[in-house]
Amino acid sequence: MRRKPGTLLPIEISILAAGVELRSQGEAEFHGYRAAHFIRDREEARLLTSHGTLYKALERLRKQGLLTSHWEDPTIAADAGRPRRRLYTVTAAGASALEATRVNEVQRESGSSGLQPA
Amino acid sequence: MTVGTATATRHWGSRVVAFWVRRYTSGLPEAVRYERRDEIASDLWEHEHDLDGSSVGPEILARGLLGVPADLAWRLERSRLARMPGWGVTTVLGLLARFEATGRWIARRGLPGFTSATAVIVGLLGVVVIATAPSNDSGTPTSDLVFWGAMLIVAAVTVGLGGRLINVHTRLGGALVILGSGLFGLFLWPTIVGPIAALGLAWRAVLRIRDARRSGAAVRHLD
Repeated sequence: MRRKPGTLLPIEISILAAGVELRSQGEAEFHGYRAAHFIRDREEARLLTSHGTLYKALERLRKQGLLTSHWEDPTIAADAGRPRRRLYTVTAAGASALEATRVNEVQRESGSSGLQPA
Repeated sequence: MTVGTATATRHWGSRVVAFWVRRYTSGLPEAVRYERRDEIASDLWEHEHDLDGSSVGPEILARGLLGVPADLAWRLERSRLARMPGWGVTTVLGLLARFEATGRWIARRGLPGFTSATAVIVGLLGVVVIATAPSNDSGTPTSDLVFWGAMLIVAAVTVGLGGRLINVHTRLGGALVILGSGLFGLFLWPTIVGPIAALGLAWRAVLRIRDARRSGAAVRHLD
């Protein structure tokens, strides 16, 4: 089933929200596991988002231009003794799409409860 | 270049997930393949080091298993099936549903039915694996997925033949069922369901052989 252009899936909203919130906390870039961890804590879920769902959603957001990504310098990873990370940043388009989705949600909720948005 | 795949993971859960990632990314262009593997390898490493303890293995495995449908969808988007027209995909999915229904119908008919159902499902899986294996412009498969698919079909034929023979030649039929089960259990072991079905089938074949030997011994004793 195809979805309407411009609409975001719940996992995509969660990722963008995690990216925006992490940036406001001073983390300009995030990697996949960091996003999964943040989403779990924020949504008080028992399990982290599965690998398949998470990385498929990250790829979709990247292709839509809502995220950008780059691979970490291998020497940094080697010095830290771990695999290199793929680091993501929420783009201006990503932040706008998240904001638009939130506004739509608020309008829908106020519409369904019979209230007019202020 | 790959860095992540070179860094060892410690937990069995990570090793199972890494094996599964290697399997479903095999046959893809190198850049796509290693990007996916490196990204998951990094995730597994972070997960292991973030949450030390005995629960890490099951938790990583659960994350991997829950993501299998998304992994398969991601893989399918990069296969020949994705380039098929809409009616082709509908036909393939319709055939899959028909085979699954047939398998369930046969499965209600005891051990030979169970082996037949398993043989149908494993054989169909083999055909799907071969059909979706990537190929170059001239149509030649470029992936070891073709070998995997062929092995699943061989396993299906062996199990199916064993199921047919088990009522007449119990030992030979049972041995074929065990052999075929071992084969598809080995090839499908990251799916969890595959090895469980294989173990169940092999165990039932072993019990069948044992019962036949006991009743044979009882007949000889009476003689």
